[in-house]
Amino acid sequence: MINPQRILVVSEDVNLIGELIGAARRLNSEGRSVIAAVVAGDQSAVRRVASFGVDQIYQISQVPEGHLVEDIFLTLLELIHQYEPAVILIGATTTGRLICGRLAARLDLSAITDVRAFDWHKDGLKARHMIFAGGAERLERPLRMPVLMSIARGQHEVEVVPNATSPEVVTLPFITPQKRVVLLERKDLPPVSVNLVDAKRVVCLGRGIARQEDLALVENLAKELGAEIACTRPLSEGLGWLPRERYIGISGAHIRSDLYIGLGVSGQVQHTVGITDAKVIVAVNRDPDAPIFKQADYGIAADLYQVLPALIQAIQTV
Amino acid sequence: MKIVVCLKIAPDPEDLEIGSDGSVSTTHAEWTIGGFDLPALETGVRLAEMHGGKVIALSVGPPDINQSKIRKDILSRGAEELVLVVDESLRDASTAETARVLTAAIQKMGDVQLVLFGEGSADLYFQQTGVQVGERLGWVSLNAVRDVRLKAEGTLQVQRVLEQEIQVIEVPLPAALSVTSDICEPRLASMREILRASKKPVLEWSLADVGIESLAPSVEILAVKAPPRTARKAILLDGSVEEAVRLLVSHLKKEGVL
Ligand SMILES: Cc1cc2nc3c(=O)[nH]c(=O)nc-3n(C[C@H](O)[C@H](O)[C@H](O)COP(=O)(O)OP(=O)(O)OC[C@H]3O[C@@H](n4cnc5c(N)ncnc54)[C@H](O)[C@@H]3O)c2cc1C
Repeated sequence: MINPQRILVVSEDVNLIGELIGAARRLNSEGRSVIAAVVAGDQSAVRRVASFGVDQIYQISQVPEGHLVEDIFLTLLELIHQYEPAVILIGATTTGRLICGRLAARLDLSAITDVRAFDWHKDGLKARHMIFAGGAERLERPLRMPVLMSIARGQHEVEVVPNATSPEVVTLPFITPQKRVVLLERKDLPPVSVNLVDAKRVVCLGRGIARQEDLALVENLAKELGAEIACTRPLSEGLGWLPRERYIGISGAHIRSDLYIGLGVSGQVQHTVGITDAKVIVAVNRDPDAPIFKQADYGIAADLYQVLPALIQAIQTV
Repeated sequence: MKIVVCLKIAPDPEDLEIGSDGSVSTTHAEWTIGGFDLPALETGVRLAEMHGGKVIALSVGPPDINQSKIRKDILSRGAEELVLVVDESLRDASTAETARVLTAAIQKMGDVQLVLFGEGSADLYFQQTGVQVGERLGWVSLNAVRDVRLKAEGTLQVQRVLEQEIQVIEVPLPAALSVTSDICEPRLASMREILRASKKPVLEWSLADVGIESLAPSVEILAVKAPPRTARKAILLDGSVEEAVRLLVSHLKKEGVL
């Protein structure tokens, strides 16, 4: 096995850079690769990335006013031409996806995004990506260089290397793209009120819940269980009863809780892909043929409005 | 304004057949328009209705995409014309190939001001094609767009949602935008539109028609398998609601998850 010679990691988010460096180290099992990080930020960001124990840092210290941070892609492209990395790892955020696609187009290659697992073989890199709403996984080998992949948050450890030798820091001048949009305004979203990914127990509501007022009932159950409330997409995007960050599924959260209780959830793949890592799955649905029962450990085929009060009571007496 | 909306037509993920050895088959799956792409079509149609212009739907893929039911479905939702670029080599095409063919088709149409995409394809969900097409066309391209308004001739104002912020952005046309799945609710076609759909033009182009001789793959597909799944017990608890709940709680206690 020959390790890739140079690995470049890119993210607008300094902590995610830490995780990507963790991923890059996995590719560097023989310790022969040079790992470089691109930092779009000031000296403190550079110091933080240096603490992750990286070999080189390319700093783009300022993105001009009115530009999107994604406009660094042209500067990156120039760097890629000069530095010729074998592998480029990009943080799978909205910004990362845009940068990734622009680079892929210019380099005439396909990026493999949201990579779940990867390995470096003598004939190149093999990576796994989820397809068909989680129904299948595809193992792929990119045929062109460099290999461009994006990796989602939370898959690799951030390692702070004590007394890391100071990396070489090179400042890159920002190259302005010819065609560009103008950022007029930005607003911070309210801080995310829930972290479903780390929740121990989750009670998930589906369209079987008839009225928004009934959420109070479910809150009682969640309180008794010490559970977070989640939902299927229609309750959030369609009805707007719950915020976006509370829906589970392909375009929502992937949970890893000990317990998932679905109330009036039918069990379509786009939703259940987000619960496959839950330890115990419970489903309550009045339709005995609902697909969720096949994917559950325990099922009750009954009206959730009868089950809810009984369940709250039973748990109170535990 | 001439608007192109790109739609992925692919086997419905609901119809996958998983073998006991983890093999995955789409042989009996119905081909449908990707669910993420319908909001993009609706966005385009609303813009054209409000400001004048026409929407051309565009899809590239293997011969399976050219089915009368799918054609009608697309054209009854407000697109005035459908262009399909069909070639067997587009089966399992990766994003670079798909983006290259879409770009060539858009260039052939000429005079297009806006290209819209969904947030990802329903089958592969790389979330890359829209962004790549914009860049290949040499236009501005954005993802995660949640609102699109025409400001002045040749300028859009869009809202973009990131993980922690909302951006308001001025976009010069021509542009390629990938929209979020909650940008708007796709319409249900009316009877009148369904009847009208069969009279709208459908063009089928070959790769040669868009000036592409051959399409070298950028990625080799080594295997497609169902991911390893935790085996589920699938125990249906019988009896009255009270009994079922009592049983459930005792099971959950035993599992140590209460
Ligand atoms: C491209 C695409 C992406 C998607 N992404 C996601 C995603 O990320 N997350 C997601 O969740 N969905 C997603 N969806 C939607 C998904 O396909 C389903 O439509 C959705 O998950 C269904 O939600 P539901 O189970 O709440 O509603 P339904 O499917 O309508 O099911 C409601 C269930 O409640 C039961 N019920 C009704 N009343 C009662 C009662 N009184 N007591 C007990 N049971 C009752 C019914 O029997 C039924 O089974 C996506 C769809 C598409 C096309």
